[in-house]
This record gives sequence, structure tokens and C-alpha cells, in this order.
Amino acid sequence: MKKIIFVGQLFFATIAFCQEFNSKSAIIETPEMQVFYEGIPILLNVEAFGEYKDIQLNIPNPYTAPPGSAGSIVTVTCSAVNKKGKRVDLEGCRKFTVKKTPKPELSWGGFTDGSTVRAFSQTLSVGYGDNVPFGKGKDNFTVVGYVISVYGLKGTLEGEGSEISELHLEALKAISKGNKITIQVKYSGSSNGLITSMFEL
Amino acid sequence: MKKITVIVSLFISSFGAWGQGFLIETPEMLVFYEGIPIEIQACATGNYKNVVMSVPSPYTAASGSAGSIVVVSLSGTDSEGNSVSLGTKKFLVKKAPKPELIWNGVADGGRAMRSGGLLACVYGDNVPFSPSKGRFEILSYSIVVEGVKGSLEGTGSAISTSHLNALKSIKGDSRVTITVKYTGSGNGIISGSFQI
Repeated sequence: MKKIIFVGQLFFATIAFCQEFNSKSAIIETPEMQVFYEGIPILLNVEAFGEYKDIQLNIPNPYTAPPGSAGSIVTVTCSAVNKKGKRVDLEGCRKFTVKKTPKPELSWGGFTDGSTVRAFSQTLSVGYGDNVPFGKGKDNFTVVGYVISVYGLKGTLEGEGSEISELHLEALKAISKGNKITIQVKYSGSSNGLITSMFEL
Repeated sequence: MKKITVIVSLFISSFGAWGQGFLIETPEMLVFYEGIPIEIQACATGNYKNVVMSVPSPYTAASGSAGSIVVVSLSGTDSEGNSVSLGTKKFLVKKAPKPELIWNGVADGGRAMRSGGLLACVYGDNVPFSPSKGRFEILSYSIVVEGVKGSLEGTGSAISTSHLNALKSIKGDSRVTITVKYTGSGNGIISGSFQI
């Protein structure tokens, strides 16, 4: 019974504390989404409970996790200037898990993996679709090189950069309709890697 | 006793968040994914009863709801018996991330063993939620071997014995591209290129 009374008192003390220092009455959050991505700037919104000015974080805002930091935990703490004009550390911290950058998608003149290509474009690009949590335009990928394989033909067409060479494009145009090709690109930028896509001509 | 249990559990659930002197949010990460259950934690201060959230936790956004906004609200009954809104938060629904194609545990660009025929679509460690939340089923596959005319087409996630035998008969190093159609936490097509 003593324990229950103690817990009850502690509870009401916490409530009183919160009511005094905070006008908010609810917090809604998704703990699984407390992540940073390597190389992707993520904006943080900070709000102090109580009368504070000049809130500062221990990390830059937006925060960009450095390459190679995936798997680590970033602990975010906060300081602010109180009513007496003194900078104080605010109680608590928030922990964010750093994840590897999501794998981008390959687009050949706007056509994606599994598409039937209706126009031959020279341009290969690598970027994110609408299935990454952060806003579009934060990715910055460069196509380093490409390897094109045509179903049934020996050998590959290999080139550098994001533009399929005129020679290779002419070779692709000569392939009869309905044939399939695969394009594998090496990319760098927000992350480095390989990506393969299949296209029907 | 029931009341005490409610109070204690409310206290425990609220202590973690309210024990802090500040609140940090990453507004871009206020996202739900189609087909992926995402846990929501909510707590309220004050003397409220019957505190309820407008959506279940974990919340799984329905297939086809990408682009919509889910408003999560917390409401309760105050000491005078009035229903009050305690707070709301808006989440954008996105398509589930694209999985990665694995052939016998080897990812796109790797050297695969032609002796095994197990294909799988899985999430890597680059999704915000636990990768195990992605549940995928491979509907069909198409295998193309560099320099060989035609493709090996099959259904399901296991490469058929006859197709495996065809792959085993290839002499020397070759590049194989496998494209699969998948369903489950997301639907789509994904390709992988492997050295054999």
C-alpha cells in the first residue's frame, strides 16, 4: 500500500511539474522513426518546456550523419538560457540511430525497372522515389559508369558517366522490339553502390 | 484497484517523455508506410480520463493510401466530464520502400552460387523501421544469362531444378540478371545482377 501511495504521489508530482512548465497536454511520436541517414541532412524541431531562450543543440541543425556512421547512436542534448539569463543544460536527451542511405532507383530517360521503353534516351539517372521518409531533392547521386547487357547477345556495352554513348544508343535502337536489356550502373554521391534494372524495348 | 492500475500505467507511460526538459522532432520523419506497422507512443498530462488515440498502435497504413495524411489525435474526458482534444499530429503516408533482391543470401552485384535457387526480397538496414517488418512473396522470376538467347521464366521464390541445371551447365564466369515480381508489404519489380 505504501508503494502504491508513493507511486501515486510521484505521478501527481510529475503531472504538476508538466502542467507548470508546459502548455502542451499531449505528445504523440513514433520511436522507430527516430533515425538519421548517412549523408542526408535531417531537420530537427526543438521546443523547450518552460521559459527558455536561445535553445541550442549539441549537434548542428539540420544534422547530417557522416559516411560510415551507420549503426551508431547520436545522442542529442539541449541547452538554453533561463529566466535568470544563465545558460543551462535541459534535462534529458534524445537518441537517434544512424542508418545507411536508402538504395536509390535507376531511371533511363524516366523509365524505371521493369518498364517498356518507348523512347531511347541517352540519360541514366539515379535518385529516390517517393518511398523515402525525407523530402525529395536531398539526394545527390552521380552515375559513374554503366554496363548494358542485351538478352541473347554476347558481350556488354560499357561506358562511363550518366550518358549512354551515341554508338551504344545506335546499337540499342537496332535491337528488335520486345527484346529485353539490363542496365547496371555504378553510382556515387549520397551513397555508393551498384543498381541493376531490366527494360523491355 | 483498476483505477490505481490505470493511474500507474499512465504514469509509467508518460514519465519517459515528460521527464525531459525539451522536445525534439524530426518533421520529415512523420511518416507512415503502406503495409508497415509503425508503433505510436502517446502520453498526456493533466487529470483526464478515458484517454484514447484516434488510430490503433501499431498503425498500418492501408495499401493505396500513399500521399494521404493520417491525423493522429489524442482525446480524453476532463474532470467536468467534457470530451477534450489533447493534441494531434499529422503523418504523411508513403509507399513502402523497395526491397532488395537476394539470391542465396547474395545481393545485387555479388557473386552467387549457382547450386542454390532461393530468391528472396528483403529489406536491408537502410529502412527506418525494423527490416523484419517487410514481408514479401516472390510471384515470378525471369533469369537472363549474358550472351544466351531467351530467358528462364518461372513462378515462386525457388528457381526450378531444370533452370538451376541450365545455370550449372554454363562454363566459366558469366553475368546473370534476375528480375522478380513481388508482392506483400509492397508490390513491384526488382532486378539484381550476379556473377556466377
